[in-house]
Amino acid sequence: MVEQQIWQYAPVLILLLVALGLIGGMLAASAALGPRGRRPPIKDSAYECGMLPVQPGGGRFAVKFHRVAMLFILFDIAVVFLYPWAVVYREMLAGQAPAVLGGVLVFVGVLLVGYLHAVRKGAFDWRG
Amino acid sequence: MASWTIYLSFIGAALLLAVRPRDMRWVRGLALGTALAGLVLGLAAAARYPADPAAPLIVLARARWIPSLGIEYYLAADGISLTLVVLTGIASVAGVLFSWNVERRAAEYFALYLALIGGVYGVFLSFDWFLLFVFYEVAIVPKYFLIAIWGSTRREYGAMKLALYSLVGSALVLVGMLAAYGVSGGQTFNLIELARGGFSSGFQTWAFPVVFVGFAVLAGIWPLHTWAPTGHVAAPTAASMLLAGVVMKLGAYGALRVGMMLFPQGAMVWRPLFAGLGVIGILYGACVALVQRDFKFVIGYSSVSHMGFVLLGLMTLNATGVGGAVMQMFSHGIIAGLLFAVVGRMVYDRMHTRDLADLEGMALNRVLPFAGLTFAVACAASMGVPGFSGFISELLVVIGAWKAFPPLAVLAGVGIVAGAAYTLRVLQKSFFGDHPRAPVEEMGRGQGLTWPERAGAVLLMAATVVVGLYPSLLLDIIMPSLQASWMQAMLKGGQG
Amino acid sequence: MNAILTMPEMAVTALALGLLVLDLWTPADRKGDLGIAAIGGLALILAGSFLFGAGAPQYAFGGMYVLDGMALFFKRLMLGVGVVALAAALEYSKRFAAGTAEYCALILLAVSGMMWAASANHWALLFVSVELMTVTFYVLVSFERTRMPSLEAGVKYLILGALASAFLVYGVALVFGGTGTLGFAGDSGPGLGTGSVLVRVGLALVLAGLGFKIGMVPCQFWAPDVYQGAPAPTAALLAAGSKAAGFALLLRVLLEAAPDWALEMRPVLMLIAGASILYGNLCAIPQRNLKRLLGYSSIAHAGYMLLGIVVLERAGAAAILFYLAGYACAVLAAFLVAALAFDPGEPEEIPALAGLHRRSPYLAAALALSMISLAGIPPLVGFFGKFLLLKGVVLAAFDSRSFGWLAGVALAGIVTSFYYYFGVVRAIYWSAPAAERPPIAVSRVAGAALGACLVGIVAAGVFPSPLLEAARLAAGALRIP
Repeated sequence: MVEQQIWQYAPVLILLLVALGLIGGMLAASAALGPRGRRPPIKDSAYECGMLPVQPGGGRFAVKFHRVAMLFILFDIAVVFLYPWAVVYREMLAGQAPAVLGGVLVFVGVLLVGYLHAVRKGAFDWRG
Repeated sequence: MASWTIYLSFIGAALLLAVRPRDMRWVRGLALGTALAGLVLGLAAAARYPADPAAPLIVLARARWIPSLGIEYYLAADGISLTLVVLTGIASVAGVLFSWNVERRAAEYFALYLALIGGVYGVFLSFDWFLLFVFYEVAIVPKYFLIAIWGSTRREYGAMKLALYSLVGSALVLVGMLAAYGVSGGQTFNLIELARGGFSSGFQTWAFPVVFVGFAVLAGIWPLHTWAPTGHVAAPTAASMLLAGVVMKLGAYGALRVGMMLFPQGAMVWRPLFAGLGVIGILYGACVALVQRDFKFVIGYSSVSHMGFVLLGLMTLNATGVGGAVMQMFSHGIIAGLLFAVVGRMVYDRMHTRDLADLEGMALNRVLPFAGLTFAVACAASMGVPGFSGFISELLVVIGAWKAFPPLAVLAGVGIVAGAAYTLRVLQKSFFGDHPRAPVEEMGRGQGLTWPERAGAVLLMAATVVVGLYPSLLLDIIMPSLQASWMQAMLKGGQG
Repeated sequence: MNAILTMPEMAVTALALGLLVLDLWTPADRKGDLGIAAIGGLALILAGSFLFGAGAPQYAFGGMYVLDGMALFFKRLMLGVGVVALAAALEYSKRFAAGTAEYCALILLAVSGMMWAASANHWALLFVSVELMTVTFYVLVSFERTRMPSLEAGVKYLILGALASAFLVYGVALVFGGTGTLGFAGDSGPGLGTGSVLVRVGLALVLAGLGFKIGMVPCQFWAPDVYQGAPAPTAALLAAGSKAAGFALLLRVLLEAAPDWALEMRPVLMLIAGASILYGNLCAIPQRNLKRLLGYSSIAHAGYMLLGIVVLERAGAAAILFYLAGYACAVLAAFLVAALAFDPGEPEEIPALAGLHRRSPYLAAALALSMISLAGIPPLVGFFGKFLLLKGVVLAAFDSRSFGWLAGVALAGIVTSFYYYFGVVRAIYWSAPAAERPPIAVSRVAGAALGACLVGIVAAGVFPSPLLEAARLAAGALRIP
């Protein structure tokens, strides 16, 4: 019984081995085939041309980015909760219609208050 | 009616706080009126006692307070309570009179003063242990404030030390109270019923010292007396009068009423130790008083010494000794009040020094003749000169001690002699210094005693003389209460 | 479905949402009226909660939610706390640039979280209610975002709160893994056994998570910093409400859901109680900041209340309920004074209280009474609460000597606490003020809320019977197997 359960993890093990093999192979191949000679530090950087990969932190963003990002995540996640509801909605409608419909209406209502609040407080006002 | 002593005091305190009269005459008048009313009520109740020798307890008020725990609001009085109620009345009236010159935040001062008095009356009249404990704790807060706001030398230190000692004592009492409540079945805190129910001797053996020491901290038992001198010195005059005169009696009364009454067998087991501590207190207090340079510290240590007699008397466990201890509580309350009044009010407020070396050069007996007379009387009473209350009470204690512990009685006698020594020393140094530094007329200018001081001094002197000349006044109400059935077990050494 | 049982919680949430909506169309100079409306609404809900009788336990949501005497007691307590906290918030928010309505709404949401917690009969509801409360407090603590200490407190509360939540949810997961059910014992059978290691570890983690809420050693480190930095109304709600919710859950978990485990862990709980009492009281001695002092003292009070848990009896639970109500009155009064007596931006230093009795005798008397009650001096409510708690411990000492030690530690703590509580009173009444400061005007709402607290302190101290009976009735509802 226990052994059977452990065998179920075999695909994970195989995937792990494949991943390790792939990485090891790529590193080995690049070491074997790659050009030799002088290696200035620029050669080891992620991009040899274009943007600098390392910069001082603390670059300035407008606060409105954060505001919008937060609101987006909030409402986005809220929508996620609607999916399971939508899946079982039809089955449960027969037995517990008021609870099922009422529950989601309350949920959406609360979201709506939040949305209203955000709008009226000017959270979406891009110029502000 | 005697229960109104409590209510009136608290009502007076609340009135003063609520109204805060601007006119000082109103403030003092209200305080004096309240204190006088308490004294009259106490005297009236004492005069009628004992109406019926068969019923040594007068029930004043009884109601269910917290029924689910069996806690009652139970006020009652026997002769011991009434003696101390009268003492409280006298001391409180005298205290108000000697506080006549308090100007700073006087309404609050007298309100706290009356609240303290109310708590003290409450302790003396409670026959429910919980209620007694509540009143006992209620007295701590005003005591603390009186010293810390209106006090003098190192007042915050003195106040906090006193408060912490009191609280440690109460913590011990609380443990004993809860344990006794649990052992007795968790039905009642009624002291009489608990005493009738009795406790196993094993329980008594450990509960007695816990409760007794808890209360005795406030009675200044050696070596837990150290709060007393600093507290007395730091306190304003009226508060040290109350502190030495009444508050220390709270401790002694609690030790008797609760510790000894409920745990007589425990008392029997532990009495050599506590009697010994009492005698050590007598001798130690006297010896330390002998070498003090500060006038007020002399009186502070004399209190420790005198309270040693109370403890010794209690631990004799016979009617003479215990009765003597109660007498001594009364007597010391009056005398300590008198002594502190002279030191703190009459002398210090005028001369602004308490250093005996300074006072020696002031010829106070000529500058303040009335104060000199008062102090001489107080000293005589304190030494136990016949004709004053101190004599009869210390005599009774020593006789009682002779029956129980002859060697200790001898040592207590030595203590009386030592008491005479320090008292005479301080009397000579303070008032009868021979070499005035300045002409007496100059020092005495504008220093006459005011009428409230004279009135207070006369009241206290009258009390000690009357009781000294006619001790039956008190003994007739103390002794019948010792015959009550719930006190008998104690006097029979816990066998009854 | 019985969803009607959740009416009080629903009503509080609706009130909060309504407040947010109304706020959108209220002109700036009328925001104060919103606060008044919130107070009125919450008071109405409090009155309405008396329509529910404390009869047999009733369940909703398939046993997730229970309405019994204890839940009802806690709900009334929390509604009362909420009313006073709102009054304080109304006064305090005058110093905010904006956000009165939001602040009030957040307080309401926190109160609703506490009320859900009072009824939790299911590990999931326990976690969700605690989170509702905690997340709201993250914002409430750091609400004064222009003031550095408030932000600092907010960050500390956030980090430690998240840690505690992690403990809690991990513990719940382990318990679920070990038992296969998320419900507490309830009416469905006996409590959890102590059998499985998984369950024991899980319960220990839950204890740690809830210990954070009540501020017991060793989960107490946040308390002084957060109490000091948070706006005074928030700190009041933390002390009086959040702690009560923590104890409501702790009582349910330890006495109802896992009594066997609690019995096994009794020595540890006793150690925690003693350590909390000593730590809180000793650390409070040198404090100069009033709110920080209250933070340390709140740790000590959590320790006292744990005394009611270690006896593992109904009487102990009743003592906790009584104590919580008394503690709420006293600590709310203290924080109300802290909100009123100091200028905006001024740190709440105790020496700055000098001369308060002249600036406002009412505030001075209120703070003094509150301190004396916290110190446990009769005839105020704090004394009787401590008396009840100690009674349980002293009686238990007859069976086990270690309770005697615990009682000794508790008494030593109480005596110690006198020192610092009276330091505050001393500062009010006789320290000489550095400079003469103007009198303080106390608004009618704040004055009334303060008055209610003071009446509670005095009335429940002099006549403890009604509150004691209510607490006993509530504790009687505990299904101790």
